[in-house]
Amino acid sequence: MKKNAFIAIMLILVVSLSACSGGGGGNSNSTELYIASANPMTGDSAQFGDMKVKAIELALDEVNKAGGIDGKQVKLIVGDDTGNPKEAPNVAQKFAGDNKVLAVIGHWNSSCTLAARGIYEAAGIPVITDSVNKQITDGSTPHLYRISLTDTTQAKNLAQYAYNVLGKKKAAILFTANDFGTGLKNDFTEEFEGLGGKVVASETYFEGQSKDFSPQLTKIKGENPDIMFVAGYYVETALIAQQAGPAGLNVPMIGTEGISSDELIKLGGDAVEGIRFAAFFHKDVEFPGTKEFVESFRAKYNKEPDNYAALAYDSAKLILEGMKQNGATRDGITKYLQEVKEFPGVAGPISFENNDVTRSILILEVKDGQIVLSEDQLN
Amino acid sequence: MFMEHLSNGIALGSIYALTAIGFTMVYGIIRLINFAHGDVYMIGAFLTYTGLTLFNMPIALAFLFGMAGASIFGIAIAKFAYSPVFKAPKINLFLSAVGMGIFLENFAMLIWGPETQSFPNVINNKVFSFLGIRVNTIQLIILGTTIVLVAILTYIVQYTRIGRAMRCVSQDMDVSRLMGINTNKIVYFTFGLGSALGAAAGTLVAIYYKAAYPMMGYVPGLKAFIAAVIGGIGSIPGAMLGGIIMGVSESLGAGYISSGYRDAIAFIILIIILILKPEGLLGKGIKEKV
Repeated sequence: MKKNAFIAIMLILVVSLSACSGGGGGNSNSTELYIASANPMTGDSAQFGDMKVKAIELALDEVNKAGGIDGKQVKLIVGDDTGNPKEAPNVAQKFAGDNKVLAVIGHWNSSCTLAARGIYEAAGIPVITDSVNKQITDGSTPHLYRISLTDTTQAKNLAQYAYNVLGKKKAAILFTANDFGTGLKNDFTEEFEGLGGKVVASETYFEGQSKDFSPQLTKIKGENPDIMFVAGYYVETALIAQQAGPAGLNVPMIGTEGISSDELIKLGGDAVEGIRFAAFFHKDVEFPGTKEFVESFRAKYNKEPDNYAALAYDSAKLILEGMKQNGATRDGITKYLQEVKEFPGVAGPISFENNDVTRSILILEVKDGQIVLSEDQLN
Repeated sequence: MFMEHLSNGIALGSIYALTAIGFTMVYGIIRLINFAHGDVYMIGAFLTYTGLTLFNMPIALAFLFGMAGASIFGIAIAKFAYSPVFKAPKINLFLSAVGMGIFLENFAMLIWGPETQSFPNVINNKVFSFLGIRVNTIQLIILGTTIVLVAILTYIVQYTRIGRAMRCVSQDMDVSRLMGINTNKIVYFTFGLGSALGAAAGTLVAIYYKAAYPMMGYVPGLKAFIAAVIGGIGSIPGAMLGGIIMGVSESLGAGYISSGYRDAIAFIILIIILILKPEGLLGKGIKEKV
C-alpha cells in the first residue's frame, strides 16, 4: 500500500518534470516577443508589484493594438521575488536562462536588485530598475539602468527641504535596518549636518518584524526634535505615525518614495495626515503623455497610477522603443538605453548618465486623505 | 523618560504574559512545546478582525468571537494534529506542532491575504499623564484585560472541579486516568482555554498596533516560549512573571541600549536564566503544574 503510494508520487514527479523541460527553450520564429518583470507580487510590498505590472501591461496593450513590433505581439512574463533578497536570484536565474526574455523591468526592492543583478549581467539582459540604492549603479553592471533617483539624491534633497524650505534645525531619524534604510540615514545625516542642522536621534527597526515602536518614539521624544525623517516603507511608516501621537511626539514627518502609496492612507488613517515625501511622479505635474497615461490607466483598472506605475510604464516604453529601433534583441535594447536622450516619459524626460536617470524630485503631501502635490516644493 | 519606557514595557509584557500562559498550560498538561501557539494567536486576531469588519460586531462581542473561534481552532488542532501522535515519541508531537504552525500561517494567507491588514480603529486612544507617567487608553485596556483573564483562569484552575482535574493530569496523566478522570476531555479543555488566552493576546496586539498579518504570531510564539522558560515552564505565575520581565527589559533595552538589539535582549535574558537557574524563576522541578 505504502509502496504503491511512493511509486505513484515518483511517477507524478517524473511526469511533471519532463513536462516542464518540454515547455522551455526559445523559438526565434515565434510570433511573440517577451519581456519580463520581477517584483514583489505577494507580501507586504505586493501593492507596488501589482501597480508596476498593471502599468507595463498597459504599455504593451498600446503597442500590441497598434500592430506590435515588426508584426509580433509583445508579452509580459511576471516573476515574484516576494520582496525577499533570498528569492530574487531564483527569479533572475529563471529569466536569465530563458532565451525568450529580451529585457527585464525590476526588481522593486534594492536588496533584491543587488542580489540579482550579477545574474542578469552574466546573461547580458538589459534591466531597468526602480530600486534606489546607490550601489546598484556602481559601474560593475553596465546592462542595468535605473529609472528612479538614488537614495543618496533623495536623502540629500529631503535634508535640504527640511532645513531650507521647512526651516527645521533638529531632525530625528527612524530607519529600517537594510541597505535602503541605512543608506538613507547616512546620506541624510551628512547633508543635514553639513547645512548646519543637527540629527539628534537615529533609531532603527526591522521591516516586517517590528510593530511596536514605542521605545524608539519615547527615546526620540526625549531629544526634542522638530522634524522626523522615517526612512522605510509604508506599512511601518503608517504604524509609526499612529504610535507617535500616544507617545507624545507631535512633529512633522517626512519620508521617501518608499511610502508613496494609497495603502499608507488606508493603514494610517488620520495619523498620516500631513506627511511629506519625495516622489518622481504626480498626475498633476504634466509632461507630454501624462494625461493620456493617467486616463487610460484609470479607464482600464479603475485606479489612480502611482509613482512606480508611471516609472514602470516609462521603462516598458523605453524597451519597446529600443526593440523598434535596434531590433528585438538583448543587445539592441541595451544599445538603445545607452544612447537614448530626452525620451519623452510620462514622469518627465529620460536620459541616462552612468546608467542613472537624470530627473528632478517632487514633494508630495497627504492632505484630507489624498496624496497631493505639496505647496512647498524644493525650488 | 524611565517611567514611560516602564509603562510601554508593562503593556507589552502583559501581552507576552497572556501568550505565555496559554503556552505554559499546554506544556504543563501534555509536555508539548506547542510552536503552533503563536499562530493560534494570529488566528484569534484575524477572527476578531473578521467579526469587526465582516459582521459589524461591537468590539466586545468581536473580542469574544475571536477568543471562542480560536479555542475551537485549538481544540481541532489538538484533536487532528496532536492526539494521533500522542502516544508516539515526543519528537513526533513537536514536529507536528511546527507543521501545524506553518499550515496556519499559509491558511491565513489564503483566507485574509498576505498583506498587512489595517485593524479598524475601535478604541478612542487618549493619553493620561500623572506623576510623570504617560499611559494611554489602550495600554490600560491591555493591562485590565490581562488582569481579568488571569483572575478568571486562576479561579478555574484553583476552585473548580475541572481545574482540580487539570492539576491532577499535569502531575500524572496515567494515574489520573486510573482514578477516573477523562484525560482526553482535560487535554481538549486545556487547549481550548490556552488558545482563547492566546487569541486575546493576539487581538490586543492587533488593536494596539492597528495591524494584523499572517506572520504576526511567529516572533510572539518564540517570545512566549522564552517567557515561559524564564518563569519556569509549566507554571502559570511563572509565565506571567516571565512575560512582564521580557516586556520591560525589551522596552528599557531598546530605550537605553539600542533599538536594533531589542529582540536579542530577550534571548540574552533566556541564556542568563538558563545558566543561573535552569528550572526558571518560579520553576520547582516536580511540583504540581497546570
